[in-house]
Formats: sequence, structure tokens, C-alpha cells
Amino acid sequence: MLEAIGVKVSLGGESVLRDVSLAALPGELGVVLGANGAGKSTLLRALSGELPLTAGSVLLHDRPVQGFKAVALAKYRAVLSQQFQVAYHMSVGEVAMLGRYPYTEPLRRSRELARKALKEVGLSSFWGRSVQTLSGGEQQRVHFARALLQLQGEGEHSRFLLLDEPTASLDLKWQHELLQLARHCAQERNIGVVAVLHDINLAARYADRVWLMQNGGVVASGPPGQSLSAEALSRAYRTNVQPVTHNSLSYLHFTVAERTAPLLIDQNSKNSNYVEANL
Amino acid sequence: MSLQMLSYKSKAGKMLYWGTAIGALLGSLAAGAYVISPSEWPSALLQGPFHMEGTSYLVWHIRMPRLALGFTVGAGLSVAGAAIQGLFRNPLADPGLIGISSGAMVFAVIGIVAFSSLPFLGSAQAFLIPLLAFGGSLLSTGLVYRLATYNGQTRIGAMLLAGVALTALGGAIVGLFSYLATEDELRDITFWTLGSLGGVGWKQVLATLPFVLASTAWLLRQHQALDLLLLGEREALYAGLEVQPVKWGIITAAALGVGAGVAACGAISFVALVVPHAVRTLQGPSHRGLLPAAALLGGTLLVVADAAARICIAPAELPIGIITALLGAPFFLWLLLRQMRSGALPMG
Repeated sequence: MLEAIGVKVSLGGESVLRDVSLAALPGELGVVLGANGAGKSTLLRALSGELPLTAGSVLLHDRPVQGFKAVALAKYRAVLSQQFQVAYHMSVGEVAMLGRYPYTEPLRRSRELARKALKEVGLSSFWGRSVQTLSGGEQQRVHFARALLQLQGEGEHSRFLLLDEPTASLDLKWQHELLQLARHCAQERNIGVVAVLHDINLAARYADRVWLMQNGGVVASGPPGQSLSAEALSRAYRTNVQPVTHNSLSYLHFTVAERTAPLLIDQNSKNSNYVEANL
Repeated sequence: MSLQMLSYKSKAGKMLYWGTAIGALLGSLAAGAYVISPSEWPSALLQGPFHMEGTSYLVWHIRMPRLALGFTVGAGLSVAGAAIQGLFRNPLADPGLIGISSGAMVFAVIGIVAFSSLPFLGSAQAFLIPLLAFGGSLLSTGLVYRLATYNGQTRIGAMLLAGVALTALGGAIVGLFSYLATEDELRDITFWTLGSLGGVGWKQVLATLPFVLASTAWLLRQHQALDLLLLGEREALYAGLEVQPVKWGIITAAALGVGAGVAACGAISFVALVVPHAVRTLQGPSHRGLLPAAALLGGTLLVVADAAARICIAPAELPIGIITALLGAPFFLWLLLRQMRSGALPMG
């Protein structure tokens, strides 16, 4: 288990996380939601063991995450950051294979595993391409494959994958495919995934568990059906969020109200006017 | 010829690099103001290092140490350059341009002037100057790195400007010492700031080789760490690299390689820029192949450039630093222009 207990973090003298407690469970896709500046990315960095905490603790397998050596930690938690550039023209295969750094194994074995992982993210024909020449979405998938490779080892302890706005540079199709992939990995490999997302509807659809953040604290948590209410979201995002009901939707869906009155889409009209809550 | 053949990662590529290096060494052993003809080689080589006259002396005590030093310095500079460019995540990070050589030069010049008043040091001086130069390059590398990186990301503008400032400061200090120097010291300083392999013997080789070997051997083992650093420091940490100690280790080793090179033959600029770039273009930036290939190509290049320095105005010779700067500076401008055009170098 990866858990935060009473975590407080200050950055540059400003308190960014105030007393956050949560537990990420293996096999689950957990999503952190909240407005800009609510502390989502800081929470992820605190969970990753990178940030020094002002108070509280982050425990991985019941041990403080700061006490791990970088190599040991890397085998059990991988992080996929927001957009970053790989320097020089590293090839897709080379970047994926960097995920095998914590393991001592023959080069041949790393290559074999990397090929499999790239196939899993739909990039099997990209091996020799320079990462810099790929689209933002393709780069994201290369790093996703690298993160999966990093968590692929022996040993019984559960593994955790932290994703910081993984869908930010992806188009509609890949936003959904990436989250499906994340959930698939969570279930098949028993990995605990924690993703920071901006899109509450993606969260509502794919998350097993949601943590809604506001002002550096978690204000609601639990399965989307319990934690995501129009009231809680409206408060967290400081805007009027309304549920959308439609009989083609089998999951929760929210949008920002155009008017003050509750918004309902007419079943018979396909072109209802509403603003997506894609904040 | 396929590109694969030019990659150090393939067997054919490895043979090509080694073959070129050995060919260059043999060729430059023969070349110079006095050309050693093939018929003279067997006797010159067989007479051995203790036959102190004629062609044999020329081969064993003038050309060989010079080749050995040239190859050592070229390899050391290129590997250090490749490592620094990996750490800074930018191909413009040449030790000469970002002030590292300058730091080494200042300390070495202080050494030259200070030690000449301490005659009892004798031949220990030959070993103390590389150590001093190492101290100077370490100081300037650390300083530039501190100035140029923020939050684990390199600011290229800051890096180049820090280099300009350090080079100016170094120039002033070297100037001051030249002003204070005696006639003899001045000739030493001038010849040496231009960069030259002239007049070296086995003593200088012995005073340089261990430092360069230590630096190169350590850096070659860090190929995975350098690859990870291409992702950025934070990503490298997430991927399992103990970033802080490794980073300062790379800085120390690279400074050692540059410092030893500068102490031995002055500021030979741009080798550390051109060679890694050429290898990266041929086989990609992965350091597993880049570092050994840069070592071999750098050694080869310096040996060939030195042969050219001996031949082109024979019987006199040009300081090799002038040749590498004449070739390297336009190359740097081209690289700079390309980075600006691709938007990699914000100039606003």
C-alpha cells in the first residue's frame, strides 16, 4: 500500500498541502481532482518521495518512502510527469529501455521486455524512431511504456504508478485509451495507479476511487458515485457544476451550467447546447 | 556503406574506429619535418628506446611521447565533453566555451609562475600543475553548473553567459600573471595558452595519462546514468538514479579530464565540441556507444591535427590550438545557428 498520513508540504514558504491523508490500493485506479493550484501535482510529488515533507509521512509497504534508496524505490513506484523533453535524438527503444535501469539483466532481456511494452502501448513499429520527432501523445505513450518496464520485476510487494496529468497532450481517442490502459494495468498486474486529471468526466468514468482536492486538502474521497456530487465539485472548482443525465450514459457526467436552472439534455434532440466541463 | 557500420555499437563500427585510430597513430609517427620512410621503420623500432641517436631517438623520444600525449588528451577532452553535454543536456556545452578550460588555465598559470620560484620542487612540478589545473576546472565546472541549472533544468543562455564571464575573468588573471612573469616564464605561458604539443617528452605523458585514464574510465562506466540524465534530473531520480552524487561525480571526472589536458598542452579548444557531436550524428546519443567512440575519434583527431601542425609550415610548426580553433569555431557558429532556428535556444 502507498499511503499519505497527515502530509503537509510547504513550497517557498507557502503551505501547499495541509494535512492530506489517503491510501492508494493495488489493483485500483485512483484519480486526484481539483482546481488549478489545489495541490494535485504537489500531492503526487509528495507520494513519489521526491519532496521533503513539512509534517506527516508517506509510507510505501509500511516504510517511509524517503528512506528508500532511489533504485529500490524505482522498482516499486514509477512516475510519469507532465510534458518534458528528452535531450538529443534518443530512439523510442532506447528511452523505453531506460525503464530497466534498476534491474541487472542482460541487454538482450531488456530489449525483449521493451519490445513487449511498446507493443502494449501501440508503438511496436516505432522502435528506431527519434522520440523528439513523435507527437505529444506518442511521446507520452513511450514514457508510459518506460514506466511499466520500470515496475516489471520479481518480488511480491505491490507496485504503484503515479501519473501527472497524463491526458493533457492527448487527443480524445488517446485520452480514453490511456486511461483504459492504466486501468487494465491496475487490474491485470495489480498495480496501484494514482492519476492527476483535469477532466472530471474521465475521472467519473474510469476511476475506482477519487480524491477531490481544494486548497491543499482532500475534501471528498471514495468511489466516483459517492465522492462526486454537483455540490462538492461546484465548491472545489468554484463554478456551477451540474450533472448531465441522458439514457445513453451509464456513468456519471458533469458539465458547467449555462443557466442557473439545472440543465437536462432532451433525450430527443441530439444537438443540445452545453459547455463541456473540461476544466 | 550503411550507417550501422559507422556505429560503435556494431562489430564493424568498432573495428573501423580502432582501425582509424591505429592508422592515424602509425601515419603521424612517420610524418613531420623529417619523414620516416618505410625502410627505416624496422631498424628504428627494433633499436628500442635506449638507443639515443638518429631515427631511433626521433621515433622513441620525440614522436612517440608526442603521439601518446596527443591521443590521451584528445580522448580525455572528447569523453569529458560528451559527458558535460549529456549533463547539461545540450550539445553547445564545450568545456572551452563554458569556462572550464579557463579555470584550469588560470590555476596552471599560477602554478607555472609560483613554482619557478620554488626550484626545490624539481620534477614534482610536472605532476603538481595537472593537479592545480584540475582544481581550477573543478571550481569553474561547479560554478557554471550552479549558475546554469535551475530546478534540474539547464538554462542554456545562462550557461553560455557564465562561460563568457569566466573566460573573461580567466583572461584577465592570465594576463596579470603574464605581465608579472619573467622572460622565460612568459614564453612558456604564451606558447602554452595557444595550445601546443611541441617539445613534450615521456615525463609529460606520465604526468597526464593517469589523470585522463581515471577520468575516462569512470565516465565510460556512467553511460547509463548519462542516458537517464537526458530525461532531466527529476525523471532520472524517478527512474532510480541517485542523481546528486552521480551528477557531482560526473562533474569531477570531466573536470579531471579537462584539467589534465589543459595542464599538459594548454587550451586545445573545440575538440570536445566537434567530436561528440560527430559521433552523436553517426550513431545517436546513447552513451554506451558514444563515450568509447568519442574517446577513439577524439584521440585520432588530435593526433592527425598535430601531424598537420608539424607538416604545414615545416620545419617550423603551428600551435595545434590554432588549428582546432580555426576548424572548431565556425562549426560552433553553425551549431548555434541551427539550435536557434529549431527554437531549442531561446534568444528573446
